[in-house]
Amino acid sequence: MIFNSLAFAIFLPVVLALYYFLPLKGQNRMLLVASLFFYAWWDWRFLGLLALTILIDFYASHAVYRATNHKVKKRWMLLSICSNVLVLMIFKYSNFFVQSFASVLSKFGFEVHTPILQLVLPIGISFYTFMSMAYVIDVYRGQLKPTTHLFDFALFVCYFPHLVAGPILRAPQLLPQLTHERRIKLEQIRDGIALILIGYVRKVVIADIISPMVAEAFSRMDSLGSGDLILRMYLFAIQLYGDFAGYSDIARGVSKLFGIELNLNFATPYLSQNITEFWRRWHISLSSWLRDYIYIPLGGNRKGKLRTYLNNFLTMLIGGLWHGANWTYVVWGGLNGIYLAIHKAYLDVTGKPAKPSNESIKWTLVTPFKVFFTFTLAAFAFIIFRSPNFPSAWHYISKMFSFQGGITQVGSSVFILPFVLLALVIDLTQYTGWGERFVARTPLWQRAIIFGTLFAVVLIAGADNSQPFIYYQF
Amino acid sequence: MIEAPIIRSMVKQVLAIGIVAYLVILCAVFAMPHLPLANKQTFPPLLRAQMTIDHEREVFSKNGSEKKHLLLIGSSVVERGIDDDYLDTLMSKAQVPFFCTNSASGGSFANENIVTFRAMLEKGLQPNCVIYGTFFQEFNGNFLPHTDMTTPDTLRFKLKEKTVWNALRYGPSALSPILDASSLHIYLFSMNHAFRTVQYPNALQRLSFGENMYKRDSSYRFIPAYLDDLKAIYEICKERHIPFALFNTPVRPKIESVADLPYFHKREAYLYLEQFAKQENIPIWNFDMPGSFSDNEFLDTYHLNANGAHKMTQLLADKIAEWQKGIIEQDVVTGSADSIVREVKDSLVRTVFHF
Repeated sequence: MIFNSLAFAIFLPVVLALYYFLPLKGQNRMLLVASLFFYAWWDWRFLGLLALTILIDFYASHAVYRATNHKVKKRWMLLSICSNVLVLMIFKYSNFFVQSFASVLSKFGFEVHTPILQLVLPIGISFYTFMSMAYVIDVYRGQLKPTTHLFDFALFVCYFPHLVAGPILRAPQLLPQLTHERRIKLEQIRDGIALILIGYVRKVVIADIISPMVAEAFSRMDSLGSGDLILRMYLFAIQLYGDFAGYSDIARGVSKLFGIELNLNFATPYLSQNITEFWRRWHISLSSWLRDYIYIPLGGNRKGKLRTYLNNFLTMLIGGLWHGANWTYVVWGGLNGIYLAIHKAYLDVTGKPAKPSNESIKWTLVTPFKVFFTFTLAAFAFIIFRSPNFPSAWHYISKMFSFQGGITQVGSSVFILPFVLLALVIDLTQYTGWGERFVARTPLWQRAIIFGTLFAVVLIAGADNSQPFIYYQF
Repeated sequence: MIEAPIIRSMVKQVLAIGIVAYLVILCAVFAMPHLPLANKQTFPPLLRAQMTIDHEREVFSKNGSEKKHLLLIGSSVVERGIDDDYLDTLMSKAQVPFFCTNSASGGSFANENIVTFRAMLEKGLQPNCVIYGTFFQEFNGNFLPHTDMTTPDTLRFKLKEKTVWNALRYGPSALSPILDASSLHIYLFSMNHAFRTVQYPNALQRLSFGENMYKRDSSYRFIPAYLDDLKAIYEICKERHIPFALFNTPVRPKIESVADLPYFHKREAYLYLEQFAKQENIPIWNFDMPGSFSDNEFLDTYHLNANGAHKMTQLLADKIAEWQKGIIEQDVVTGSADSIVREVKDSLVRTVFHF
């Protein structure tokens, strides 16, 4: 079931109506059943895989917690990690690694006929395995006491708003909200509705309307000019952001209606002044997961400058691979790792402190240039992310830098401008906090006029155009 | 359990937003002139159909039924090649009691026109005369813009009345083409009659005319079903005693290479039309004669510019005037295979000069 479908438009009110009239225990059971139903709507056969992951990690976490011997603790934790990685390897990466291995062998003259597993990629697999695995690691690190209720843990893993495309939540954030009495506040309903609406605007009105222009650029780049390709490079960055941030907003908004708060996943990343800040603001839940469970265990910045750069690079490489079984994702991750390492080296050489993101709000005359430069770096890397394979990405980049042809499709480019501006306005309202203040202070009738108009645009844009979220494939 | 005031607040907010949203949709549906209750796929032909019906209603309400309705249908070559306002003027001058509506729309060949034509008649359209404009690619199965109009799809081609209920039900779908670049351009151009009247289109307008140069469209495969659809349109007219005529639109004499265009098949395509016209004794006027139109009267390979449209409208007006006198004129294919080859050679020579 996807958020921009009729099925979900029926599912949500029904679940909310049931939820509001049940006591806590009943609410959790009902949410669990609803979450499983939500997942099974796509393919019920993968419920078994989800259940297996939940069972293994639930029992592994208890085994880790109970064990007094450090080696035993570690063994159980490794069992959890291995089981999750195995699930990912089988369902997501098996063909990728086998084919890559075969192509390396063929380079040395060994022709190997590799079997191709005809496996469907279970939706949301990368999200729920990472959440479940992190839970066991947190217990191992002594940061978390495992829950004794299997159903609570199961709900933590498969709570439907975050199940298929995140945010990747940590147990200390979500579990207490699930196990304790919840009291839904009026503000949560108000903010939830606003977030859902903004999420749909980002997805249906911005991302989906931009999508055909981007698809055209990547499918018939030879018939377009360099100007078109440059423009569409930026457009894909906006599309991807609208698509994914839209999903996250809807997830957070829906969750608020249940009285459960999910973490912010995107904090206006395209208004970042440097690439390090960008990665603090883009897909925050994954970035922080990679930091806590990959970068820091690799040594973080504690083992010298060169090692810090290498750790940055390796972490981003793994982050790239997390996205999908394709070398383009690996190269995209690696390129971002290089960006981060260069920026870190620049800070080291100049002696400038790495600014925390909240300080970067102070804008100067140079800031717009920095923001545009950072946006361009991110958008450029997304070319590799979007391309089906590396030669295609290379072709796009070389055609773009040939500077021939200019903008050939002025009409479509002009048409898309209001939607780009809308994306910018939404981001600015979030960046300045104006949006929150507006929702909190404005009377209902004024909000209804603005949100009602936006909802009308969502209905119109989505009437004949329902595209799945990009991050569902991960 | 949630408290009642919270549920009340939630319901109030959702209702307020929903009501405003549907009010906006209702206002937009009724405010946009000629907007058909269609979707993105059916928008271009149904827009033309809606415009035709609205035009007929407007004329009949002003003049009663003293004026007769001359309906032109076809694809973009007719949409851009015939100026119906100018044709009206010419008809008045010739004292022929017709008002004309150009109901042709881009990409609509006989297989699509049969459906929109039926839909218009179902909605009460009363044409006194129907003229169908074709061009030689219309029956070519390898020609890219052919839409696959299978029978179940045609059920969607209904012209719905703009009632409040229909606007609420179909409003979002009907307005969705406005949020699609190409459909929006079609709407804006149709509303402003810009397909025919824009003399020198700027970059934006040129793009809005669409991409009409199909470089690899060199093969030709005659599909009898497309001709059958055209015959079906004629049959409907015959049943209703509506006089019917055919005309063939010109192709640019300058071509880049013979491989770009199935030039040699022009004759073949026209022959099928000619046979049909002879068999049914209906007029067929061929405007694709060598020397009839020059390069500078074309916008691209198939479409005339404003000057060309002016000229073809005049030619058509003359033919209609003759037809109204009872003369069934049928332009037959003349010239041998050699003359066709010579025509192609000439066009290539001209190409050399022009580039």
